[in-house]
Amino acid sequence: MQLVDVLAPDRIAVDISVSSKKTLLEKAAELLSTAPGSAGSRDIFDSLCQRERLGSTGLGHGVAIPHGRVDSQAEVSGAMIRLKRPIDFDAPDHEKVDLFFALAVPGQCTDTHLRLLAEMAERLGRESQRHALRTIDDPDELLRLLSTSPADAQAQ
Amino acid sequence: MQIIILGAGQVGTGMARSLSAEDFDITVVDTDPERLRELQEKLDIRTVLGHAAHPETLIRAGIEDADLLIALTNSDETNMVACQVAYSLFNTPTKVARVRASDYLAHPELFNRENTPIDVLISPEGLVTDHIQRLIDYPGALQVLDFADGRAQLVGTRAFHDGPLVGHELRALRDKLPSGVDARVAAIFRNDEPIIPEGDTVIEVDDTVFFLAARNDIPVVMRELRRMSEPGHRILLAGGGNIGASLARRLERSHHVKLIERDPVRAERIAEDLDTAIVLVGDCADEDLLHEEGIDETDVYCALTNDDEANILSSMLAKRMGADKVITLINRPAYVDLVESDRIDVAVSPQQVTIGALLTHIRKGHMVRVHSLRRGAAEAIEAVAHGTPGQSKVVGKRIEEIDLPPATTIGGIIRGEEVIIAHHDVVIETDDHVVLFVADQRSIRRVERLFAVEAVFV
Repeated sequence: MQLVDVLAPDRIAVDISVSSKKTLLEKAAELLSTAPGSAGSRDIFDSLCQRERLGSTGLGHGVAIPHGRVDSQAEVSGAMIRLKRPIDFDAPDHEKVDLFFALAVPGQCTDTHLRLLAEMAERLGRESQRHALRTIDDPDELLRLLSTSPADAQAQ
Repeated sequence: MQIIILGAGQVGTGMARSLSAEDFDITVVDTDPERLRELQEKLDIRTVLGHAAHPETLIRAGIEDADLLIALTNSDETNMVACQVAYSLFNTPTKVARVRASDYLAHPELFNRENTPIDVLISPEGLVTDHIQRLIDYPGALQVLDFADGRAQLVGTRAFHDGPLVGHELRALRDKLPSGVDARVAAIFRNDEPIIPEGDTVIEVDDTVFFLAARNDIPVVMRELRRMSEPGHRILLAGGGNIGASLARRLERSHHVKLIERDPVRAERIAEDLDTAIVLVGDCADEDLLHEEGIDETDVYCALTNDDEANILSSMLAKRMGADKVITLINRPAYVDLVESDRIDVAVSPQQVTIGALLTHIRKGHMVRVHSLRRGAAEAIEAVAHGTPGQSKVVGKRIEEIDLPPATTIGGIIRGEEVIIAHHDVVIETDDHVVLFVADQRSIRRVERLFAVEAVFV
């Protein structure tokens, strides 16, 4: 399972504005809850907030991967948010964050989910990927980018 | 973190004061413009005038972006409605409310998402009552803090010349204790300055020593630091407010309890609720009354009225007239510093006791208990270690390998039912509850980061 498999064009929000970490997580929960088989946005929001308290999901370089386990979630669903203006997200490098890939994970977390998160962290650790994700506006094109292996994108 | 505090009363003000010293974004809401003006002059906070539960007031206070709402107005109902509004209209992630009426508290099923959405209920009177009861259980203790539902306790006590360990290196402690009993000295305060204990640290007379041990082992360990009397049997309580009355109720079965209350009507009402405890009508600063009631044979005298000055004076009087241990309830933080001496054994500050309970929900990482100590200068923390050895800065590591910030010690670990006292070679496992003593509050951020999980942790 890859990031592109859990995203959909209608769960990609580009150049929106939020005023805080809390409103970002609200927006992410809203998007995630529209996926088929998804829990309600309130349950997802609670889970994202709880996970964030254990430690920030900020990866550094302005990217974060907010996620949480949700009991009533049937399948993992994903959403992408790109902000017009970055916000404070307690990232380890203290940089503000503008690029978010959010996940709602079923209550029973499996290896598949761990690998998905690892794959995301690996992809988003590449400057070329981050640059492309920050410059492409069209959701379909963004999904096309995410469907290529990050190493290929590097080569382009 | 953005925090809204509703109510600028004693606890609200105390909370705002201690949080504004840290890097938080604080807004205080109250209906009294005078109080707010006073608060704003002293502290770096925002204030908003208005009814604490009204959506319009909450919006002005920044509820849409707030991470935490702490409802501490004098009205239980306002606090409950404010949490409901915050949840229903604004999705506020964490909602804490003070609820005092025991009638509400008797129905915990009220407080959930479907009914009254309060995540954390705070009852300062309940917390203070628990706190004082633990102090009565251990005669020599200045502080008794519970971890893991009381399976382990951190006890602060003053070292006396008659304690066998006093004048010796700490490494001798383990040999002096009977087999099967273990303890760890987590911090020592000497002339009000923290000392980080090492094996060769020598305990001196008058040191305040904090040690962690399993609950059943506490008296044995304490006897190493001072001569111990048996837990006091004769208790005299001054003041029949909520704290005095509920202490009397809890203690009357196992102790000989007398309670002094000034108001005859109130005294009669309390007496109806008690079986063996005796309720006396009178003034606790009345020397004759204290004498008649055998103050010289009293093991513990507790001054619990809502008047700080009266509590201090009657405690000093009781101590002079021969009470063995006096515990004094003091609301004004400045007074607490003034009076803890040989005249008053323990000053209990409701704010400080309550702030610990609130900090548990403010500190990052998975904190189960936070106790605020020494007017907020130190904290004792129970944190859960999560993650796999590669992912976590603590899991899979021996205690000696952990990169602890300055002035911080690990006292022990609670693993399931087992209390494991910290020694250098103990290895932390995932889901362990780790008890830390942070003697310098500036190290808290680094302790939070130590226990924070990695970004990919699910």
